[in-house]
Amino acid sequence: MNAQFKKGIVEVCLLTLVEKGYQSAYQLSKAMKDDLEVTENTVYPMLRRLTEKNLLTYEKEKSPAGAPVKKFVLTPSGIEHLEKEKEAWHQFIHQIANILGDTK
Amino acid sequence: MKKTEFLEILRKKLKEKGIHSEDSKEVLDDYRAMIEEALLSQEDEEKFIEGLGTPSSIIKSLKLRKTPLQKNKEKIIGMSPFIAIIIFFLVGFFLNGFAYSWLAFLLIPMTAIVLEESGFDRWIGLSVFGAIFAFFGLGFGFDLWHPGWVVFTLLVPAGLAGQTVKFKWLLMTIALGLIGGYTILEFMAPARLNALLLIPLIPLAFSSKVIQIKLEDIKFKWKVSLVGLGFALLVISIYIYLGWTLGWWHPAWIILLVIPIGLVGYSQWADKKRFSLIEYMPFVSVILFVIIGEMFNGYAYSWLIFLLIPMVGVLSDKGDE
Repeated sequence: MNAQFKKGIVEVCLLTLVEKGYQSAYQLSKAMKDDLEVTENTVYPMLRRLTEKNLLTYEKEKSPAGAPVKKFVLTPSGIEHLEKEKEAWHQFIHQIANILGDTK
Repeated sequence: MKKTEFLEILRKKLKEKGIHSEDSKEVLDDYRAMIEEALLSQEDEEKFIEGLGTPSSIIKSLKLRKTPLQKNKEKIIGMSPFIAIIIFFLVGFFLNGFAYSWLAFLLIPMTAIVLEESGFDRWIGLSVFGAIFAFFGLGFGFDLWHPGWVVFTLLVPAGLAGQTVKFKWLLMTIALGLIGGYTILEFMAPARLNALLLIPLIPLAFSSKVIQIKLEDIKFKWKVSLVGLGFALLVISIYIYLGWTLGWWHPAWIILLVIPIGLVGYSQWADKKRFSLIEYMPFVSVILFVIIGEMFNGYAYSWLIFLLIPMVGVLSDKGDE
């Protein structure tokens, strides 16, 4: 799969998972690994980028293991961005399905 | 790899790359938290850490702030190829020294070693380049290709000097004694059997860690060290054999460039990297440069071969994948 294309999907999936309540980098990468071939090495830099873009924010929470864990949530602009991206993806998938359906 | 070891390597790498202390702390805290959460979820520690990627690849994938000192260092390193080219042409044209002025290009990795490495890595890195300069200085300057190659054996005591091993000073004295003894014997009573004196340097080289590629991120470290040492010894033996039997001390030294070529190939394979021609090009270029220079007396134009390095770089560049 084209890397740029995959990156776009991963970003939308990540934001969606945050919306669903997955909060820490570990939880998010675990959830992503279950369905997509992505590793922590993809998820963590992406979380940083999305935070820099003000689509995500976080609070640090104490963990029973020791190190404080960042708990991510969507910012208002993150919610807006996700809605737009989801709509664009649904539209895109619909268009592709139409084309693939026609070629059969 | 366990958590503590992984975080320690990551910390060192962040420091080496001159990453701003705030960013370094944040990345370390985040990875510590991620690993600890995985352990709480009963994940296998080593398997999880393996999935995180190597510390180098982690740093590469992140946009991190660098310290002002690091930025300046990178500027100097970036300038070094241009300075090397200027020296190369000045020495080549004005001193008619194209046969040796290419040594100026060694200033590029040397600059990087001085500015980017520290401790043992800096010491041994500079020792290697010191030996190379000494070898060519003795060769081109005094036609002492043999026994000038003995300077490379000095890397064994140099390697010992740079670290903490038991009986360090005794081992160094033995190594220096053997090398000194061999050199004196070669001048006073040249004989191939004299080289037997250098054989004890082989086990000493193992303890001195002279041949050690910086691949601490991967599991193959010890393997690379052993293969590297074995391969280097084989190539050096072939060179000495050619020198003894055919008197080809110069320019057969180009065979020594097979050592870095082999090590680059092995590390690419061990690191499961895709074949990358660009990493071989500096060595391949020197080989072609010397062959054309020596065989056709063409040093005045064979330097054009070095243009292959940026050309291959452009052709190999796959852009942002």
